[in-house]
Amino acid sequence: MFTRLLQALKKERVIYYFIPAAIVLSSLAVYPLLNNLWLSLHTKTGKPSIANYSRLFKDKWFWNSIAVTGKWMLLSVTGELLVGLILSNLINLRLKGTKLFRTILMIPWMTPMIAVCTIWAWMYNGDFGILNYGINQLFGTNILFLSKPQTAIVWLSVVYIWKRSSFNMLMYLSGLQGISDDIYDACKVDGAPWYTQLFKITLPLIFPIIRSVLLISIITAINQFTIPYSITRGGPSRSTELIQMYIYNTGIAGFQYNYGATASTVFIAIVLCLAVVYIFVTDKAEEDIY
Amino acid sequence: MKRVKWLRNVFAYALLAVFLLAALFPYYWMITSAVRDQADLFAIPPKLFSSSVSFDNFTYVLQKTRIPNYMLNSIITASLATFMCMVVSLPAGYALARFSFKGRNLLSSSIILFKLLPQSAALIPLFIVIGKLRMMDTHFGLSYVHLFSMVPFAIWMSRGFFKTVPVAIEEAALIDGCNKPQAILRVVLPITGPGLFSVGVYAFMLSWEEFIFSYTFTSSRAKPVSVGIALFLGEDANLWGAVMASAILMGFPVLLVFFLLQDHFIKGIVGGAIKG
Repeated sequence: MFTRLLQALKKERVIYYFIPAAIVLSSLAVYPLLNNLWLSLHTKTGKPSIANYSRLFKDKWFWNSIAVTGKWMLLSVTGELLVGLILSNLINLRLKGTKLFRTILMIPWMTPMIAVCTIWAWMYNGDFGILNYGINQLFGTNILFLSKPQTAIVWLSVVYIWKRSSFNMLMYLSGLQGISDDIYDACKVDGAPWYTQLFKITLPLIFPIIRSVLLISIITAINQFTIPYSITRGGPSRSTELIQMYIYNTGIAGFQYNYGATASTVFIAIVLCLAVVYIFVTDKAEEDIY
Repeated sequence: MKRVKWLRNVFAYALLAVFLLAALFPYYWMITSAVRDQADLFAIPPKLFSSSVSFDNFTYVLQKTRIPNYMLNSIITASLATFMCMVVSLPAGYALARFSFKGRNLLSSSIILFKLLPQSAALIPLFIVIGKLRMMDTHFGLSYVHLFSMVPFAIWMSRGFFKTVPVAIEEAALIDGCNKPQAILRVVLPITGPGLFSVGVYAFMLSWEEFIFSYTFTSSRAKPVSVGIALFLGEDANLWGAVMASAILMGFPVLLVFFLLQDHFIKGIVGGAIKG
């Protein structure tokens, strides 16, 4: 085995190209992954134990963060999927000025997240915020955007959807532009109505892309930290505390390395499962579309 | 038939107008909030249009706060990180695009895995290690941990650009007497130059806006602007005009670069995300 590896090293120069990246990624990702696992299986004093896990699974705030993350994911992913699909179809009509529209729609995506958070925090502001004022003028009621535990997460997901939709738009657009006009022309000749076109042609043909983008969106959404941390700090009453914030708060701010690493390990397992599905699905899709 | 198309276009333009308004209004509000005086900023009811124009908020941010320091920290950290990222990632991206070897698919897949890994996966172990190495609150320490998300991304994006160079061109250079490094340096890099430049810029921006690691691994000396603004936002001093001004100072350079390079970004990112 070892001599074979050595031979391979001599022959395959290819491996040299990967050495720097391998060093960096193993120190920054592989080692931490293993270390997380090790920490989670030991107590503070270094004794092997699974006490961390039993404590974690009984921790109400851990389950709270899982539930919040689930809610956040559903809201954000549905939102960016729908807005992304609508936008990409609008852009794909190739109206006059389309290039300009596309550029403008992508501004939120390119703006640094923290700048986006400051704008929305200011617009949501309960006393001087423009949104509350506008809604008050239109409907005569006040919306407590960020101070109601039941709905704060919804308004935070609006920020996320606002920022991320144009990324979805770009993805779907590249799929739509891959569909040949001939198919639509044939459709017209046969007299198929628009909904038949949409459900029998457009959607099935971009389905592989939707599937890939959905998986990426899910993973990106549950990895979110900056929006709730900078706008609500997880509040009110921990109703916007996403899983990453829970890990940060227990592991780093609370100095419980082993316990935080346990939550982190569980979270990594979830993300890795999703990522493996994504890779499997996308590998297939590549052959299908291109 | 014509009539239907006309109607459809009117409807589409109306819908687009709504989306464009939704995309742009927050920027309008940010900019006007940054340049109005205190009385207008906290007017009740809020004024959609303000007659006052003052740059007090900007002078306040630049002279009275530490935001300029933080910006400088961000520039140092992001430059250092980008340099390291490019040195490490470009060879890997090139090899993934160019050579076929056993395990290439597995390697590509693991790069995607790294790309999708949450930052909290590395947070606690790195916190312990960086503390032990006494690299807490240093530019180098921060720029090195920033590579966590930058390197997988840069490998993937550069791989896409390297793939656009036909192998034949490289082979021609080799036949004409170049050795391999020369062929890469004189033939491949010039062709992929603009694409690779955009990879570098994108990597720079990843570091520029990164938050969790920056927040965890710095406290004062190396604190970058993203953390500075988040803490500024958390203060209860109601300095909203100044907060908006600092967000503009942080965000608008990025947007400017984006406008100049948008075609490359779109190609690199869309291609990288869908084409496996």
